[in-house]
Amino acid sequence: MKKVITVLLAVLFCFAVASCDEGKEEKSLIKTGRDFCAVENGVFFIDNENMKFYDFETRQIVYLCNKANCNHEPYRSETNPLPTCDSVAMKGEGIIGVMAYNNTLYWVMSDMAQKPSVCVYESKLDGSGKKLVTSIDGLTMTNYLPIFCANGKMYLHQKSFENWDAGANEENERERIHCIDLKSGKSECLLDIEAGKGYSRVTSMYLKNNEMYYVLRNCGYDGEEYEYSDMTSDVEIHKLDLQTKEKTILSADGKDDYDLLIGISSEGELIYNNRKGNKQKIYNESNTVIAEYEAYATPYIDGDKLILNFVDGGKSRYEIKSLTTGELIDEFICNTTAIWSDTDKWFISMGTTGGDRTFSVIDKDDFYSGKIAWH
Amino acid sequence: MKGVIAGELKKLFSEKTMVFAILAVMMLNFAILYVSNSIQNNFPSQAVMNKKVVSQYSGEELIQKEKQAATYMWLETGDGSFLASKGVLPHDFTEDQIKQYTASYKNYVPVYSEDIREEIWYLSLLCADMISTDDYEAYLNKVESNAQASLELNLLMDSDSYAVKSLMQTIQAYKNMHGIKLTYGISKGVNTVVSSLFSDFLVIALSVFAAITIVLKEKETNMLPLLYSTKKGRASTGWAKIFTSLISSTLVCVAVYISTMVFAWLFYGFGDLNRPIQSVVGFVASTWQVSVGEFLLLFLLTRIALTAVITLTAMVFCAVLESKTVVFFLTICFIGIETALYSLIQGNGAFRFFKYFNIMCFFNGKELFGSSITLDFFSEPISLSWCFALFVLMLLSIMTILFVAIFCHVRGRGIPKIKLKLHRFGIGGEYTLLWRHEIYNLFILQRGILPVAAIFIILPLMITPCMQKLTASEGAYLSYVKEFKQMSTEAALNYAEKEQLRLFADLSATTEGITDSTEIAKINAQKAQAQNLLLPLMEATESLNLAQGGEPIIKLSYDRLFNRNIQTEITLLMMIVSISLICMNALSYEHETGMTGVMACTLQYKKSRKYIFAMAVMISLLISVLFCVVQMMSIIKVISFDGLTEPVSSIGYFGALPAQTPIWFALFLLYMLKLIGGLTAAVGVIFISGKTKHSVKTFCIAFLLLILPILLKIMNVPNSEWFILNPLLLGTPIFA
Repeated sequence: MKKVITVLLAVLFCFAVASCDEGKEEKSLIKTGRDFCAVENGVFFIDNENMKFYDFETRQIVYLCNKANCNHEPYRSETNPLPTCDSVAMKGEGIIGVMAYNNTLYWVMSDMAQKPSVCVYESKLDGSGKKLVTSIDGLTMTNYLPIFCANGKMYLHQKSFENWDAGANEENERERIHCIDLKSGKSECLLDIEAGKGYSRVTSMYLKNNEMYYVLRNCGYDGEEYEYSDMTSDVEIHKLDLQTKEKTILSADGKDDYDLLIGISSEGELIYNNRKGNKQKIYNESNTVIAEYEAYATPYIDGDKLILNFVDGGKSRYEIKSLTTGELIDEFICNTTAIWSDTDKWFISMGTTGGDRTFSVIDKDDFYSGKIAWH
Repeated sequence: MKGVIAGELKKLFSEKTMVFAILAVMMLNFAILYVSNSIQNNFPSQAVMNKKVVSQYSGEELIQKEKQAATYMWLETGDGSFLASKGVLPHDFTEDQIKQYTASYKNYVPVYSEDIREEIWYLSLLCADMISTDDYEAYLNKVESNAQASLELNLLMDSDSYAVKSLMQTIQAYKNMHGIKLTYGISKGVNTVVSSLFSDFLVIALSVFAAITIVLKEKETNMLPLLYSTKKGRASTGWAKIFTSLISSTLVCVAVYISTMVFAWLFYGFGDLNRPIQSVVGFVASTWQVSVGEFLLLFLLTRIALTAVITLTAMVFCAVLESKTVVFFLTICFIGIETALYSLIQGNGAFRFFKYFNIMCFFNGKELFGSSITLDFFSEPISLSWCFALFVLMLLSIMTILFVAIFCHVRGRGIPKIKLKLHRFGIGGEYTLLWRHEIYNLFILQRGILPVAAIFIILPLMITPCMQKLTASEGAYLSYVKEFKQMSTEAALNYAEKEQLRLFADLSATTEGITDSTEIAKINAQKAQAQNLLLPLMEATESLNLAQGGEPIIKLSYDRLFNRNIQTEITLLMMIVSISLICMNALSYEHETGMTGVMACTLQYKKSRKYIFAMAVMISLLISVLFCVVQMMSIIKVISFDGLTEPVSSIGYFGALPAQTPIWFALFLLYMLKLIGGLTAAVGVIFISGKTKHSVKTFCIAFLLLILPILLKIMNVPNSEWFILNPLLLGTPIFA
């Protein structure tokens, strides 16, 4: 009898581990995601209620689902209450963010079926095996800023309601930055402030080593209109030490004209953009003006280079400047397209045609050598 | 050995109950199928008509008829909408074609109706079953190209991964399907056989009953020690019982599913049995190269295998235990756990293995035969069909070994280990002892305490989680009503109107022409929020209208009490099943153990009969109050009951009561009806127990009279709220 039970337990144990898979560890580095996330092979992006993948080599867009005969139908309470497709949310949540980190795909979803909450799921890179990491009550689906991952943690900015029973209204809204430990699922609120009335007060945020930098904006409101249209509202640059949780205000009052934090150079310097209409001034934290120009396109930071694109008298061109010295490194006239993201090898541009996302990529070496051939 | 097997078979089938049960179940199955299909329009006339039409015309001919009928409708009435819905514009037809169609349609005798619109409607329903060979080839090509595209992704770099192997297996499986020619035939017949949940339920119940009869009978009559003392009383008898259980599973399955197939054939037909199974709607994705006839046979064989698994599982329980109540209870738990795993685990989640390697998944014929799901076994993709074979083999082996091991080694029926010496408390006289005896008999000896314990554990778990949180919609509704309470009716209505306009404006916002993804996300967020707020606003405004000048009442608690119908009905079902399980042994146990004669010699025998009915009152009150109180407390924990003294017209429920009746009185009446219903159920089961003198027969009759009506209500059978005890349990008279 004992032997029988031992054999049975062994068989059950084998089945229990049948579908287990070991994860792989990756070096800790800062990765970003939003409603799209670039990896070396392609881009994960959200298309309505499905997750898709654009492959750089094949230039194909596919649903993130390995089931060949799948219809990729999203959750519907009556007709599809238990979706089987890997590319959709588990229970009809809205997919609002995606991040590929440590060989794992993280899905940031907004759940409005119960009390509003933001859920973070993890899955394999092919979308299968979704598992809930954490669920944070009270957060809503607005997610305009990048999601950051570093040192096994995820940082995301969300709006929330202080007291849900009082109703979902602007008087009750808060803005929060949360830190989620991706292994344990525990979340910690790093920032909790009163939300802007109709605008996002946290305009940008970036990670640098163990520090988080974010920009807070306070717009004037006279009860009728907001005064932020000229983009010169009152801003503060904040620094949060992620280990000690100490907050420091680097600049305040809007007198310094710093408006937006647009990135961090490979040297570790913060790069700012002061913008009035189409007039842009790019500064580094040493107050050195790197570029001053008129153009609507947002510049792009790649390592120690600043990439600007202009349209001059019907011709368009790129200018490549050094973030350290501000000197012009190169410029070439071509048909430009805005750079949205990059990997170690590729620059990626995105657009929309007839409601569908389109992608163009170019090898970085080809780009810098002037062979402008986005494909 | 043959003699032992023959003996076991004789024991099982000489028992009239078993034969009676099989026949009764066949008829019940047929009746339930008929009743549940009656929900559809014009059943059975429509179904029989469809069968006749399909036998006369091929799929292509029917599509032609549909087009002709649509053309005729356009000519006669000027309505070309149906033609347009098929992608055909009226001006696409030539004069000659129009003349030809009109003539041929006029020659075609309408089989459904004189009304051309109804005719087209029925024809289009039939044509929806049509899957052409071209459509199928296109489907196969699409699947292969999707699989190929996924394989080419650099995402799947590891060629040894489960995902890659699964895709390659899928490509190969579908490659083999090319060249299959599909034939038109009606799908409803096959789908009725495959999707008949009630038939599956009956088979499970009957197989447990068979297991109890095979194993427990000797225990109850104390024949086991005698049996063990014979030459072939251990292992041989054990194996004989297993063989008998396999025979009984086969018979039970054949009986039930043959009646299902007869029903389906009579009313819907199966069409050409030689056509490929892929011709049936819902099986296009199947990779089985079998005909419809072969599929039906395979279906029956898989059901026999699964029934054998359940029978053997119940036999293992019977070998260990002595109480039928507990065996039923444990088998229900086993099925319940498997059902919960199958229903609740997501198909795209990390634990999908437990969803699909699951007996309830294998009971789902469409999942087993109609899909190409694979499971990850140590990074190897195994198709669901092979998983099924492995599952059945594994469980049959385990249960067989367990049963034989237990049966061979267990000692004779001993004294129950659970003892409760109530008389030690020495309270009261002879009447108190009678009470104690009955309590001991029902709850301890017959393990009736188990269903009660299960209720304590399961019910709060079932009700509370979904009751505890406010949904987004409820939160918004609450917010709006609270807002309205602070204003006058006129001001509140104005506010509601403005808010509605604002939400409509947000809903109609478009993202066309906008390229900034942040802006797109913002607009989509506003649209989603507007969508979520619109219905709560309309419900809150409705509360305002019902208030007729007074304060609107927060209806949330009443909506949760009355509108979650399926949950109310399931809790009622649990309540009645629990009452039946506890009470079925009340009077039958003494007869089954031969104690009636001994008891009849005692002075208190006649008085004890009265106390049994008093027990019924106590049990029914206990269980009914438990269910009702837990439900109410769960609701009160989240939202209190607002406006209890207001008239029932303020909340729109209790239409049969006078409009000015206070809400608290209506609720009181509702729960009194439920308590009376529970009491009647308990008294009824005990009465039946006394008459039948057999606990399982009692449960079967209780099932027919008490449990079945609630099941019919869950299945939305028309007028089922008036069946037997349902008016009391559901409060139907005061809601009407």
